[in-house]
Amino acid sequence: MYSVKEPDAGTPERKSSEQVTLEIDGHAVTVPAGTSVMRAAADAGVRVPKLCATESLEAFGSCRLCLVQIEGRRGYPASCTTIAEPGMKVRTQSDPLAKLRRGVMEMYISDHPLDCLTCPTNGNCELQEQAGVVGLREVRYGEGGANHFKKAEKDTSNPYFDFDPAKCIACSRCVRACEEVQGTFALTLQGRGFESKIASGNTDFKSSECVSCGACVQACPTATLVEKSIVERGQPDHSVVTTCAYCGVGCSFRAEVKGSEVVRMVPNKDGHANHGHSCVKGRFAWGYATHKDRITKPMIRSSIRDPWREVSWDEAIAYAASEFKRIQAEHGRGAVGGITSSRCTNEETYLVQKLVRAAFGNNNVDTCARVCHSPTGYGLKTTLGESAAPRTSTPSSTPTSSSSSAPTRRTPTPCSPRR
Amino acid sequence: MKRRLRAGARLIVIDPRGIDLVRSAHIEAAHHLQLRPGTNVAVINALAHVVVTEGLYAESFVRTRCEQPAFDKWKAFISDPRHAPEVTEEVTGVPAAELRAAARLYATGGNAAIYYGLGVTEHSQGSTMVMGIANLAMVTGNIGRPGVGVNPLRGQNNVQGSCDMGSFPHELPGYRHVSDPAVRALFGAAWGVDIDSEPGLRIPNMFDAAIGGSFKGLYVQGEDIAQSDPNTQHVFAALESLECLVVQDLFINETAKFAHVFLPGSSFLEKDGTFTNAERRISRVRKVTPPLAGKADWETTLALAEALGYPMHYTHPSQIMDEIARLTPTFTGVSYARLDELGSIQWPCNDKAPVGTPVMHIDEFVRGKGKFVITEYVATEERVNRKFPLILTTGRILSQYNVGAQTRRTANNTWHDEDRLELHPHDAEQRGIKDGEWCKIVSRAGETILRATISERMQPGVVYTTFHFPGSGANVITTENSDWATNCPEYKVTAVQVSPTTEPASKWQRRFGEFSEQQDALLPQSDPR
Amino acid sequence: MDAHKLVQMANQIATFFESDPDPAAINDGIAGHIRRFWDPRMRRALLQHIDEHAGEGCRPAVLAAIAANRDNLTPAR
Repeated sequence: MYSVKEPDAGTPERKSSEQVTLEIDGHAVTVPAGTSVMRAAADAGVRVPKLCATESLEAFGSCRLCLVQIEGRRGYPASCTTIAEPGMKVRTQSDPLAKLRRGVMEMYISDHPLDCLTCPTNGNCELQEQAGVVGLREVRYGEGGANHFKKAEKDTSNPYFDFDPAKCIACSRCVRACEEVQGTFALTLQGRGFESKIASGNTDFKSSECVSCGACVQACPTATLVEKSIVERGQPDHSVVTTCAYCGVGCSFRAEVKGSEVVRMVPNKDGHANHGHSCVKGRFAWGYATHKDRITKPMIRSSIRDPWREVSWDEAIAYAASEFKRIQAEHGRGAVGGITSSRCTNEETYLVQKLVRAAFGNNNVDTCARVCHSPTGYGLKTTLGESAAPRTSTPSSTPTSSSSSAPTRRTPTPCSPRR
Repeated sequence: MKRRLRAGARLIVIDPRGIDLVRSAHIEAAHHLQLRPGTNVAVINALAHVVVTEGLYAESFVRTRCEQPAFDKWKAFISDPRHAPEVTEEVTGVPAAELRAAARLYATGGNAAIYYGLGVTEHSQGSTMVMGIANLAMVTGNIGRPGVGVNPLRGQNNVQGSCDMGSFPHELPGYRHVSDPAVRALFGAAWGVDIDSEPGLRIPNMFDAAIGGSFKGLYVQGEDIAQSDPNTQHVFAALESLECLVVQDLFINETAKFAHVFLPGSSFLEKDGTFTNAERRISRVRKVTPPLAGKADWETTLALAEALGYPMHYTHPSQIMDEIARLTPTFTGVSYARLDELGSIQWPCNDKAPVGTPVMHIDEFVRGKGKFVITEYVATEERVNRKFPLILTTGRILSQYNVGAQTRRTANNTWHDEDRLELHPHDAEQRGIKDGEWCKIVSRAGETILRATISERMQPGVVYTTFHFPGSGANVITTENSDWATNCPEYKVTAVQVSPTTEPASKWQRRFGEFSEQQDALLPQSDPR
Repeated sequence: MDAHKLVQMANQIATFFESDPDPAAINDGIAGHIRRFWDPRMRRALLQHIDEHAGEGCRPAVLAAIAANRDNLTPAR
């Protein structure tokens, strides 16, 4: 889940030309047809308690915490799976509801370790938060934090996240995230009732079908699936929205930061290119940015057989400039050039080509796109007139598509907007 | 893509390998055209031939949207029986019936989109193939609306952006040729200089000119040309002949081992800016932590320009974007304020499209009428023979990223800690190669030694490797053959021979190992490694 | 510049344009491509090779295109 709190309306947004008006705790609210009562309530500013619902996944209706009362209907329907209807009158708070929710929560906590103070998600745990919301005050069953999984080993085989089945509440958000968000089907919910257990096939996470996209970790409402970086460094204090520097999908991320240290990268659900999804590289493989191999001081040498000498920025820059000027004086204006990077920003690339054309005075500038997509530029410009992809990669109505590369192996999220 | 396929979209895969998309959980391709590497153009022509000769083409779309004379010429060309799948089958290895069925599905199955990667471009006919794809999309009317189109999948985050920004030696920002006097005048006035009207050197030409003695100094920002470019021995010779190589990077990459000046780079977490993704979407990069070495990459370039006697006056990257917007008609409406407001913007963004352009070519193509181009199949000069009977094709895998400078420095090595040679059981058995053991790969350019992985995903006669680890020397064996139009290297086709060996390293790999050790020893002792 | 390689590149360019049924388009295509994408020193080296070695190794279409567009292809400096 996001550490730096993000509102979660509980079920996915629906789009419809038809609008439905209903009443929630006395507030009138209008939503697109097909919207859940839970989401309508969120729109009206009313938070219905929930555990198995999250807006990135279709409603599942298993946790029984989001029960509500609806005028003219019997019983206590789940607000996540109940669709809003015109004129509906919904109550989200009442004595019977409070009692029911506390009962449900009591059952969860009776089988949950009570180690909140030392838990990596302390302060950022939906189970903890919801226990507070429903006003849980006593647990009459269980053995004070004992858990039927106490012998279960934590699975720490994945290099980026841990799996601790003792903390699992079997909400199956991870299983659904793997199916709905990533499409890998690596996780299953095995057994029933208290015996329910999330499994990554018949093996550990590392050896399983899991592609480590992190969607399950993102979806987990407890510390069952948690990033190792959070275990090691604790919870972040703020976040910055930025764009992944790996592949051409350009996923939007929230860089979650503690002080000046990044502790986690989470895909941004508002990201236009990725809609809350990501792959193993952007989600987890950012440790290179602070790797000990980083060179942080400018260096110069007169021959590649000589040792490097650390110098000031000014000296390094002055040396480079004097060498370029000397070469141009001796061998002509065209004897020097520059190479821009498709890893750097637009602004940086623009500056390097400007430097070549304006300061070197020639056009000897090229980019590593030379060795990958230069034919795309030439071919599309010749036929269509623009060196770029003609359209958004949203296969909104694509009965057939043909391919000639291996997209699954390289970028698992191209063209995978959720809706 | 997988989500659409699970929802019932049908898939045609054209790939020499049995990639995951062909068959995996919940997905099965309707057709897999398992072609021989290097025969892309023959396959795309055969597909178009079937569409045209079976009368499956979008006549009214072609009539209203495309140049008629060019179409007529192309139609006569593509209708020739030499492009019939029954004829091309011998060259491509794709059964005619399968190809015909795929062509019919693409032309008549409703909206159809084409996605492609470097398996299309990195060939001697890479540009021809891209035009062949555009021909096929136009002739079936599958372009210019949501759900269809031609979609290059870009490997790197800002390939689109670096091309947009005028990184090619013949084009100023916005893809405008340097020979155009009006364009030169525009930029010349803004920059206060005269802009050279002659195209400059492309990367492979720079290497040749360096060896030839007319090119002596190079400034490389964030790019590892020594590892990623083909025919490594030629590249090394070119870099060694430079008098001043300036490398700006996070790490001592392979190129930096040949450098005279090293300028520490900044990671994407340490600077402000924008990236442009494969769908032309411009998104903000925001500074999360301060630059580790004290300067963001743009500040370093500013300092170098100033020392060269050409000061540029920017105090924030937003001002650079403002200048790009002023000088580039497709970027006129782009600014950091607008990006903050909209989240992201797909160019063109200007008065005509104030919030950007999700789909291009809707009413007309950018060039006006679409142009059909004749795309004759020409076999690559890189041919198999008795000495080099196998075709090597190269690629990438999910957990590693390109030359691996970043991912090799993360726990992603858990999944992929070495580059291996993948080959079909039949080819392995014939040569006595065992899974997991060393094998020697020899091409016309060089040789290297890797462990073998025996796999049914390969077709007999085709072998495959990745190039994530510098010591693997995958590019020692790739040749300098390149796309005829752009010099994009033909990474996807190299004729090789493979044999078992007990040696864990080739002569080149041993020399490389020694050179890397020497270069490590030349780094300052204070370096905390 | 390695003349052998330049000849090979020019031949490859020619092979693409040769498939055009219109002979004038072939000349324009080859010469235009070289003019638009080749640095002056590359054009100069190719012209020099053709002059000094009687066009050795070049496809006839390359020689024809260059003969017809000699002035345009000759670098100013």
